Amino acid sequence: MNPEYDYLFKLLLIGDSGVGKSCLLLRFADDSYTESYISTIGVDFKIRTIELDGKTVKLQIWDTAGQERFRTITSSYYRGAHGIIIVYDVTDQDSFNNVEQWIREVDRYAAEDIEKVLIGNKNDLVDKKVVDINQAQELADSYGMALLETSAKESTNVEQAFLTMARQIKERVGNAIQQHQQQQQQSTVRVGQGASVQPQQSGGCC
Amino acid sequence: MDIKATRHTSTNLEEINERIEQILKDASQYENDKSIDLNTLTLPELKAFAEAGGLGACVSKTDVLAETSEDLMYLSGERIIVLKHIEDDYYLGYCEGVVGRFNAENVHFVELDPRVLESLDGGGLDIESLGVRSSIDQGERYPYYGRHQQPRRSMQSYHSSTSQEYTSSSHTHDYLHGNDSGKQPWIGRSSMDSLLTTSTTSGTSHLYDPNGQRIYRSTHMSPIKKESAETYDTSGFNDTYSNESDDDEEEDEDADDKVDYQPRKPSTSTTAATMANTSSANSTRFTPYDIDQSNGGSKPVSATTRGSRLAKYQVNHTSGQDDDGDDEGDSGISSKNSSQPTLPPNSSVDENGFIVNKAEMERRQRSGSSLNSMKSMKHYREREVKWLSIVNKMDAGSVKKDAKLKKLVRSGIPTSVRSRVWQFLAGSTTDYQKRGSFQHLASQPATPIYNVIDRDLPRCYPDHTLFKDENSQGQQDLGMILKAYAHYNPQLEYCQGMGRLAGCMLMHMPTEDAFWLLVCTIDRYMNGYFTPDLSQLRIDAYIIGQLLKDHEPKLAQHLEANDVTPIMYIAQWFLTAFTMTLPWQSVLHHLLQSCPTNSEILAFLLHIPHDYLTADVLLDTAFHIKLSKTDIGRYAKKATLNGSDAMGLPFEHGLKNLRLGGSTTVGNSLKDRIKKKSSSMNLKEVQSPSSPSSAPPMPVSSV
Repeated sequence: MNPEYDYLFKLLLIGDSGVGKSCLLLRFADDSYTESYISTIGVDFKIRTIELDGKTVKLQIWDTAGQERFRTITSSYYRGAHGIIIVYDVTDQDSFNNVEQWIREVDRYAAEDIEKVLIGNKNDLVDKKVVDINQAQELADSYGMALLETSAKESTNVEQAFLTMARQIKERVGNAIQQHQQQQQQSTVRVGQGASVQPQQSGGCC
Repeated sequence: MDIKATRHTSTNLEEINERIEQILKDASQYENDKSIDLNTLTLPELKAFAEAGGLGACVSKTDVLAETSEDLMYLSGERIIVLKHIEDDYYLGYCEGVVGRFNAENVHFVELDPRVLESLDGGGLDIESLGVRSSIDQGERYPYYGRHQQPRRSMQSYHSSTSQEYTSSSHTHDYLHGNDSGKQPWIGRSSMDSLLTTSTTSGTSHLYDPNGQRIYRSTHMSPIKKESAETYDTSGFNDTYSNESDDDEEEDEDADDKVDYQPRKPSTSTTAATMANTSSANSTRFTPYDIDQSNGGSKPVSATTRGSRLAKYQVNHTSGQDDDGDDEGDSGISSKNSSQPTLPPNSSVDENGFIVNKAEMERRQRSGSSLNSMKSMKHYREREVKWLSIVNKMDAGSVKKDAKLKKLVRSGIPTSVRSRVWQFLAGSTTDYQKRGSFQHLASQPATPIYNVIDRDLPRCYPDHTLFKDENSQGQQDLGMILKAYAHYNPQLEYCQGMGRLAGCMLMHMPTEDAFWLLVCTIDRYMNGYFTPDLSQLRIDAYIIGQLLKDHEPKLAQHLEANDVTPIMYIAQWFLTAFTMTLPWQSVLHHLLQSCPTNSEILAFLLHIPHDYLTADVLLDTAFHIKLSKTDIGRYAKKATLNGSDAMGLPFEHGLKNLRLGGSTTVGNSLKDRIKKKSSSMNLKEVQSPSSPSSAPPMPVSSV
């Protein structure tokens, strides 16, 4: 339909304030990093188009404010999202402990079958790392999420994180879309047949 | 002793004078036309009549605040067009777009129609002798009058007693020259305090030197702050003003010694006289634009934003600046005292202290117009003096309702007086500030929210020299303010967005003042925005959505079709009082045309290209949007009833903010201003003294 891309996916970055959501996004979308990022107030956006298995996928990434009170207005962002990236900071135990809270937010506001990925950011700060990967993996497994440890600063695993997300969505949503389209085609044909007012037109469709 | 002086402010004075002359020349025509009943004129007609010269003009001798809605507010030196004699000493006058009543005792009549002459108390009036004197007086005190006009019937008011002005003026002139020694660089104290020290005297008393030369003075009378906690302080101001003027003031260490200040004030004006004197070899060096020139960062906005306390960074960081020969004291000291922020390569600091890259600087330079003129400088000084006068003498409560004040606000508050004006209009010093309580709040034990605040400090203004570096003074002060606020108001504690507000205030004033202004701004103008459920924001989202539907249905439809809801963009706009973004009509126009999907729309709304956002165009556009308070109030109420959106939130916030939205704090940026009626409405509000009757309006053409 749209020549620019085959798929358009909406992703949402959530997680505690200061875990590096905006930096991850900046790394992924612009391949750059800055120490001087302005706190996200409300919501922000970036877009990147990627190639995935021969398909053009446009990723719309919504970057949200992490402070707790902003969650009250975040509900509107979940609408229509295909995937959620939950981010914690490997050097901040609290941000990891809050991941379950974030998952509850997702369950509450997002679609049921939404794809989730867990990301432990700031993995370059080896000396300060406090969140054990096994612990994180355990949590990710219990919710059926993939886990990746990333460093936006050193550009480690960032690309993979977003691609993992995109692939998961493509697999699920792509199939769903195909099914949906097939259903639509079938129904169109049925309507065409049922109506049978302009049979030549339905013939033209096929 | 209150020294008063006069000046005029009318911008197209020559033109007006010409018209008045014309009327006076053909006075015979109007001699018999006493039937003119101004009461029957409509406001535009009255205005046209006034602009055609009215029945003459006068210049106010003092600052007068309107006591009733019928009164005209005017500042010392303003030109008032006389429209009509009402009774006794009262006249109907027109001043800067506003019609109102004034008392003859407060003005010097300059040009008068015979009809008005008759109304003047004939007793003490000797037109001949006054006429002679006045031409001298005017030559001295109103150089423009002297030059452009040979007054035929001009006269001083019979109340005029101006000798005082001359005495003080020449006296202080002498004083000044004996006082050039003892150079001492400025450190510490920001302009706000300095202005306080001069508050009892007229800000205009030294606008004319004894030779009748129109001169300007720097408004910075900063004494030295004893503890130099704020290393980044005021020296920046000096750089943007006449550098030499600092020297005359610096030896004053006693902030409270107002008496001592009086004789010194004109000293500044004399150096400033040099500045205004184009024949002076130094003149260019003293223009307030020299900073801008040095880095090529001049742009229209700079006229209202120069003089930032940070300008010194700019001086220190810009290459090729060559004109600060005389102020080594200033920049020398400041660079020693302040740790210089590190700048990324290929970037420099603009006049507001923001770090911008070279390309952006060049772009601004290209788009910058030639504001670098004596005219704009004059305009700037005039506004500066007006503000000083208002702030020093008037009461914020009553002045806020004034139409002229709105006009003044909208023409931009000069950087030099901005901190003072913000605090004055917000009432933070009078209504909120409590001695010692800030220190108490700031020294409270840490709470968990401190972590959140600390994490945000580097992320508030990472592109600003004050706040850029880790543990810089700016970040420390900002942290102190936000933490103190968390204790001051445990219900709100800390909310992202506050840092942008507080930081903006900190750029202009000392920490404690910034704190109280933040307290006041949140309490009076942004009530409900930072609550744990951001209740006001959601109410606003609803209101904005409705207003958008009313005013820009096409755009509203486009946004809705793409699932872009107001809450998505107003959070960043409102919670930061537009310090992160600014919208305006062309921007919205752009949205309709070139943003295909919701994320593009939102990305655009949240990062509006600054090409769209020059201050002049922005404000002009904003003031042309006609919103009614009734509509907003209605939608605010509806928002609370509308269940799901606002979820039963109290709408008092919305109404409270509405009621108070009337001054120029940071919180009262665009949104609050939009809420106010347009300036044309203000005219109507003040029109009442002319009490238009139902009689048919008199055609203006006959005047």
